[in-house]
Amino acid sequence: MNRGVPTMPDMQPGARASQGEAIRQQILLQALFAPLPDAAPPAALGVVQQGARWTAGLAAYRANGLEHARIALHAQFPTVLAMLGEEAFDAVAGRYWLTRPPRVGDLAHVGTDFPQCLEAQPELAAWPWLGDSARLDLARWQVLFAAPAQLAPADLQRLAAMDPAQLRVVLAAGSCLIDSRWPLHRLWWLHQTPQPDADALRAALRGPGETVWVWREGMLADCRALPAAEAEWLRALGVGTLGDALQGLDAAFDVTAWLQQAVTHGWIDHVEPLSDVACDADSTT
Amino acid sequence: MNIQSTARAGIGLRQPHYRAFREGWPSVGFVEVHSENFFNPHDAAAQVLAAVRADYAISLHGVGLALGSACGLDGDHLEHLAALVERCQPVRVSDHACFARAPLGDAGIVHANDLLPVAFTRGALEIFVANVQRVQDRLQQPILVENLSSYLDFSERDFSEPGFFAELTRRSGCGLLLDINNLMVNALNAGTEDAQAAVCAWLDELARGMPAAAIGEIHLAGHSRQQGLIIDDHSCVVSAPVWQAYAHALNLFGPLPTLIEWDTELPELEVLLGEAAKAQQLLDAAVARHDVVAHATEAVP
Repeated sequence: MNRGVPTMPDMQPGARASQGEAIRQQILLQALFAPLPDAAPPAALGVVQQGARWTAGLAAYRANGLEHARIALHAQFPTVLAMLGEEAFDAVAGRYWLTRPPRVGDLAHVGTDFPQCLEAQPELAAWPWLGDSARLDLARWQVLFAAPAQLAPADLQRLAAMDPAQLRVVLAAGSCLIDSRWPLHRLWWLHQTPQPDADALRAALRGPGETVWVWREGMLADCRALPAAEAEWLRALGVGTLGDALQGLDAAFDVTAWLQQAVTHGWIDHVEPLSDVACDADSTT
Repeated sequence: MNIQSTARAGIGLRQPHYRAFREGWPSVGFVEVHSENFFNPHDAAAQVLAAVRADYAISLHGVGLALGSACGLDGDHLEHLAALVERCQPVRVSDHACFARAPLGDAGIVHANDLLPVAFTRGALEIFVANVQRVQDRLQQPILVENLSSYLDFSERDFSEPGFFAELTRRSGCGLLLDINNLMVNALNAGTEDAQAAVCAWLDELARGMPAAAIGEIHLAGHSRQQGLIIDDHSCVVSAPVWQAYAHALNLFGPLPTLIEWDTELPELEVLLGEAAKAQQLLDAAVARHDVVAHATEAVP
């Protein structure tokens, strides 16, 4: 990360005073996110504390940041935490905090690129499923920020009465598919107990990859591994009309049974006629 | 708007206490929650807040606006706060006199998720006034800004700390959230021989420069010593010197809504309520004194 020395351009006295504070703030932030703490305060920071007192003060802030990272990421990535153990997880969390500083002031949303960070750690290369496991944890976390599905009787009437080629099935907000070359759901499931069965884990890792469907079930997140035909069906619903999805359907896939499940579990947000979609599009042009 | 509105003690409601609180429905003047923990309108916490809101006044206390940030506020964060205010209609909205957002090289603007110290300069004042006014314009109500505990401070200053807050409240129309534990932490970390006297002197200076009506809430909390520093970790009962400084503040400013904050090493809810009851006793005494003074004043021809 390029952290050049901030400079102050020519400006009016009031603005110059504020700009001076802007520079001071950048310098303090650089000290907080530096890989190693500065032994002495940068002169331009103008802090009162020197020597051991500077070290202690800076350490208090750096420790506070790392503790925030630890707590937030523990909550967001429970499966990865179970896989790595607390000590190793916290080490990566600390590195993540310093190398990918948060953009937002709500700790509920600081881990959005934690999966990529895990995949970039050379010492974790022997556990290549960690990135996808983190994506699953993140999807389960984020789906709880999405509004519950709003499927209404009128949506079901449209499904029964209208031409599928004229309908779009809009899936519940936050629900998503995660494709993995690892048995992602099986690994997740095995880590739901405090002491995962090592033999079962070894056996699972010899299995094929899985596509996992994540959705919101009331106030909780849920997920399950999907057969290929069901995953294809969901993908088709996501990009085209109901008619398109039905055309490409695997013959063995039971749409009626899926619809019953979708209604029960809140997988569909609403069903919209294409004419409404077209009108909406027209009204924005 | 009267930003004081009640003279009752309240407690901070944290997740481990949700069940005990809802089973006991204790008698407290108000409940404080951290705004950011309730930004999500769709989760279980939102349901808890809605249920609590039906019976208690809510004080929303934020930690993420970063009001002193020279690069400005995060508009999305402000919108989330505005939506929460709309949903729960709090009696007070507050955040801290800190910065947290700034550009950091190639990373762009980052948010340190901490309450970072600011210098008490004219430049910092301009930044605060602009940011506070933006928040108040969006929320359509005054907010409270809390004085910080800080582990580093700056040699350059145009104002004393009380003078800075007097100016900030005067110019922006915001109120002060007076955190007495933070004053004690700062005095102890400064190595002041008599920290309690230093805190009382700070309060005296504030009383000379700012009307009591500009103070909207008081915070009391515990602190601990860690690796040579006093850390404002809200991990224990309020210390005796903080109680004494609190009594001094009530003498100066009259009764004010008072919060017992406890955020780490959370005890049983009963312990927290016991601290609130202690604050309420002092508040009741202050109310009685305040009434006596008010009546005496009214009697003067």
